[in-house]
Amino acid sequence: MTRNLLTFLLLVVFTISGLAQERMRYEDWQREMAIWTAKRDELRAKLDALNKEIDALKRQSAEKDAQIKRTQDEIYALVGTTPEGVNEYRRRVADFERRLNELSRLSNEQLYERRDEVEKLYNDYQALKSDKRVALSEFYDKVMGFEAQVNNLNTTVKALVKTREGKVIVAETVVKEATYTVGTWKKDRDCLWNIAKKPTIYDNPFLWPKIYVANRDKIKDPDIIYPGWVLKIPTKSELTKEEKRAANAYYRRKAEKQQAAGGGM
Amino acid sequence: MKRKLASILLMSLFVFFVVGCTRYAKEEEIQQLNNLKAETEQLEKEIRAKEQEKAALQKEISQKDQQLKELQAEKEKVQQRLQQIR
Repeated sequence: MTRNLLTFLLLVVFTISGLAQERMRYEDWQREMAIWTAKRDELRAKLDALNKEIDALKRQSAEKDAQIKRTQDEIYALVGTTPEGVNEYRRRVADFERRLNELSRLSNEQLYERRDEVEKLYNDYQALKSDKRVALSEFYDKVMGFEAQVNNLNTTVKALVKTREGKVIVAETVVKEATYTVGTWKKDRDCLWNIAKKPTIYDNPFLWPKIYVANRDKIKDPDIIYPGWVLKIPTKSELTKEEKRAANAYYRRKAEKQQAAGGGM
Repeated sequence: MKRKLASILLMSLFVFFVVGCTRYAKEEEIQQLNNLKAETEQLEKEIRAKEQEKAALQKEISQKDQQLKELQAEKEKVQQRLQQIR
């Protein structure tokens, strides 16, 4: 009986102390409240500061937008256009490029037939180039890059002639600017010396080594050239070291040959 | 045996006394603490979101700065080219 009572009492004591442990003591609550309140206040202050920073950043961003627009407008004002004007010019450049590429792919015969289009293309190019909008980076390099192609096409078309047989050929007047077709000795008296002497070539026979060196793939001996060969004519300038060396070697060989021939006689 | 019983009784009385005299937080007070914790958590979430917003804005501004710099360089180039064209 006593033992049972003892067990019961012990049980009651443990239960009560267990329940008491689960509940929060008032002092603990007060301490926790103080800690969490301080934390909340700190976070509220941080949030307020962040909101202010964000507002300032938004204002800064809006200012940047305005500056960007202002600068863009100034650029457009410089070239006297608007965004719509830029779009219109972009379309013109694209259309021009398409036509240029199309015409550049044509054979001489086809080009001759469409020479009016080439002329129009050339005029359109001059208009594109003189338009202030070309100064915009989007267009400048592109449009200026067309120049060589357009001029080349225009020069080619202007040089095209139709023979009596209906064949389209490049006129010699244009060809001789950069090349020379060797004629016969009998009729034209063509040799490197005489070719260099021609007023339309160098007007100076001593520049013959320039033609020799530029056409080494064809000319093995400067004394021997054949009618019909198309020789490259470099631009007129003083002889280079290589050209002088080539000329000296030729004169040496020629002197040796003459000596050998003279000795043999 | 009786002495044992007496000491246990004394112990029990002590425990009842201690438990009975301690002040505990009320349900409302506990709720108040829980609310405070929830509010703090909510604030932390908001701060994280705001920090992300701030970082995004800073990135945007630096991109705009770069764009502005490019536009100013473009303006100078356009002026030079216009002089060349004339």
